[in-house]
Amino acid sequence: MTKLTFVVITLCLLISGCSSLGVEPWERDILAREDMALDNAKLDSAYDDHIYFSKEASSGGSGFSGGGCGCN
Amino acid sequence: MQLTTAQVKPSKKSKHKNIRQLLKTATGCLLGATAAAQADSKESFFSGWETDIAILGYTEVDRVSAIEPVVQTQKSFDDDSVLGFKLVVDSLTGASPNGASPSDQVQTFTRPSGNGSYQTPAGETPLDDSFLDTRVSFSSFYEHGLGRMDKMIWGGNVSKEYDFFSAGLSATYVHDLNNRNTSLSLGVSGEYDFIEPVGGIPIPLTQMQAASSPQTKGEGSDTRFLGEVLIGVTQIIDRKTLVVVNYGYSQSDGYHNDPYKVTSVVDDNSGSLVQGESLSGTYLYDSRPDQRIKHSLYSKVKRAFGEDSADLSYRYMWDDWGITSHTFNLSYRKNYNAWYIEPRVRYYTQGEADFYYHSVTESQSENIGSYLTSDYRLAEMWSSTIGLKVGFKTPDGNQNSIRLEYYHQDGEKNPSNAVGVQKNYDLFPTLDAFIVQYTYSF
Amino acid sequence: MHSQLTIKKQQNGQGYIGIFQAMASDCEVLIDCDNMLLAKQMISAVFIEAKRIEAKYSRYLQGNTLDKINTSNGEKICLDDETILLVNFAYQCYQLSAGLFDISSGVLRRAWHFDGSDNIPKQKQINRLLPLIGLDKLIWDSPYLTLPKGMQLDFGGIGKEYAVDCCLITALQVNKEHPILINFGGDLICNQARRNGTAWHVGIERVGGGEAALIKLKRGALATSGDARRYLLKEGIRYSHILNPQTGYSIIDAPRSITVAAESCIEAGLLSTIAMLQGAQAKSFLMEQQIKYWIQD
Repeated sequence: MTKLTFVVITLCLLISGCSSLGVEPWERDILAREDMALDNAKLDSAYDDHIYFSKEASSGGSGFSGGGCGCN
Repeated sequence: MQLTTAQVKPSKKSKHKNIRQLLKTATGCLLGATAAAQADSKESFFSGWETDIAILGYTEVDRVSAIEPVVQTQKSFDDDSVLGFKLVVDSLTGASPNGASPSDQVQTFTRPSGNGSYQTPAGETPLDDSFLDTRVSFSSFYEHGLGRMDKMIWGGNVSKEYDFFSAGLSATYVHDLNNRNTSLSLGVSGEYDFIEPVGGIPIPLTQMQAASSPQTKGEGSDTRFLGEVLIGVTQIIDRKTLVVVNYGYSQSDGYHNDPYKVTSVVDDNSGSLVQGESLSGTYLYDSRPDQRIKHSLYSKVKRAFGEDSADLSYRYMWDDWGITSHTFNLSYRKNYNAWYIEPRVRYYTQGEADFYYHSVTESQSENIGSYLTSDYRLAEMWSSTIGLKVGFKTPDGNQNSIRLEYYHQDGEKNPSNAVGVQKNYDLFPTLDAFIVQYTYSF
Repeated sequence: MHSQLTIKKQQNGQGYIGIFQAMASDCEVLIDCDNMLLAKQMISAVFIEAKRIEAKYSRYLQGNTLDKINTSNGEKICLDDETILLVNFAYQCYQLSAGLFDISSGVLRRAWHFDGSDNIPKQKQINRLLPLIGLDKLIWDSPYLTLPKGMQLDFGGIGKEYAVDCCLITALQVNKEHPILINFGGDLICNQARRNGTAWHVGIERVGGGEAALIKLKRGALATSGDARRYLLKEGIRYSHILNPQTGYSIIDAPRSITVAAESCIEAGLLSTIAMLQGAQAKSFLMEQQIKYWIQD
């Protein structure tokens, strides 16, 4: 339960501390670059997720962890 | 991008006339036929799809090999909605550890079908080579705006292989704030799995029987349901930096045993085989709780360094089976004018499940409790991956990439509780694998 | 090459960019293409066309087409084909805007000087100018136009957007294959998505208390009407440089900035100007038109 509390507090702090950070829309040139997108290599991540799901005990994190495959 | 208003139906009582059509006609006259022709080229539904085709080759030294071709495509429409589809085919061959431990004698195991058997020489990790499986999976997603600062992403997927079927749905709500510098997301997903193992569902903790004897199998199939909630915050820090933090909770209920895995029961003193009911050794079928609750905390930082960029992430996972894990991933992309190179490293470590045993002694097996597994994937282990990806454009102007990776997995090869002859053997099936992937985008 | 035109490679390596000054704006032309010769050809064609239109209709040049109309002293004058089309267009806009969009309203400049000060003209000054405003007072019998003495025409309200559209047509006549973006001081148009399939990224400046935006454009035009820099401020009331030709007065309570997306720049420009002329009603007007728009209040 303490782990969960820690998570909730962290998320709340993050959200509240976030309002002062950031950029104006015309300052998004670098962030708009293809390699700066969060999911810029979706295929690679999907392949990796599948490999590691079938070889290790953990899954998910960046997205849903459901396997959709019988390998674990 | 969000619009102040999307297509809003005009109210009957609006005091403004719609002058757009008149204006279009006037403009058409002014700019002439050339302009009108350009303006009229409305995109059809079938044009404008961004497609990737890729193929992955995976091969483990002396064990499993797989080939996995994938086609995925998506399109952004004028109203900023996005529709995507993905088809995956994956074909596996090779041998996989069946959970039993190496012994000083030859070991005989029965194939999952109950017909036929296979043998493992003394001193080797028992591998079941009955694996020959092809899986086909189809998934789709649809993303659309709900208002200026909100959007929904809907997802669905279906997957089928010889002994397994799964269907799932997901919905994620995303809300932007702080001038779109912050993004909050809340997603839920549900997945239904139908497991129909070759030869039927083995009765947990019973002994594997020889092929010539009646098998201790129960029903032909079983099911499992997985529900997940994922909460995330994405924050732009500055012009070059982006951070994500996610928390995920997942709960699965139903059949979790691995129907193809067993645990070796060894002699208390010699560590050698114990005569089974019909086989020369005693092997107990896998047994796991019918619920698993997992929590994950994930964070990632993406930062630009001049023309290049780096991606660092960490995931912490813990569950109610006693497993905790840490995953670190770092990649650095060096961008050149027409190509890029991206080295990557990953380091993973996990603790063992409460009911994991590399093997059990005869006296232990009498008091084992309800759960028991020797699946190396629930053991204490660590792994590292190093990889290199190169991206480049072909003369047709389309993007290609090639990725090569080496994966090494290791665990407790010589645990302190190894008994007798077991001390001479590796009790964790070390894994070395090579991955090659080629992607073409158009 | 032309001394006032600079052509260089785009920073992101996607192609070439041409930069020049025209119509009191920073003009740029971006072409996603690796063929340097072709890019230079297309950019030059755009530059020449932009300068041509500027020279023909600028109110600062003596002896050009516009000056000839404005110094006709009440006499009938014969217009060339292009000017005929523009005058026809101006009339159609006058009608569909119920008289709010009027290219003869330029004389109000004699009373209103938008320098950020608080010099609001007196009603008497405005009243003296009102009889000199109103497209309905002209005699338009194509190709002959008679402009009553004292009246003036000014294509400033549509000139830049018209130039953007014409320049795109000109560029595509050279070559249709490559993605181009033509941007004259914020009035812009593109013909297709960028080479790698992504959209062009356009930023809209935040004005006052409004909200900036990043627009992703794959095809079509954008035009912005706004009083970011030209306005008067007296007793806390902001007098926009958009004037109502019927009252001679500044539009009150108009949004600070309106950006509209449409298939042609001229269409976008007209919609944003007419929307601005609706003052407080701007937003409901825009909703009625069923187009994409961005407002900053």
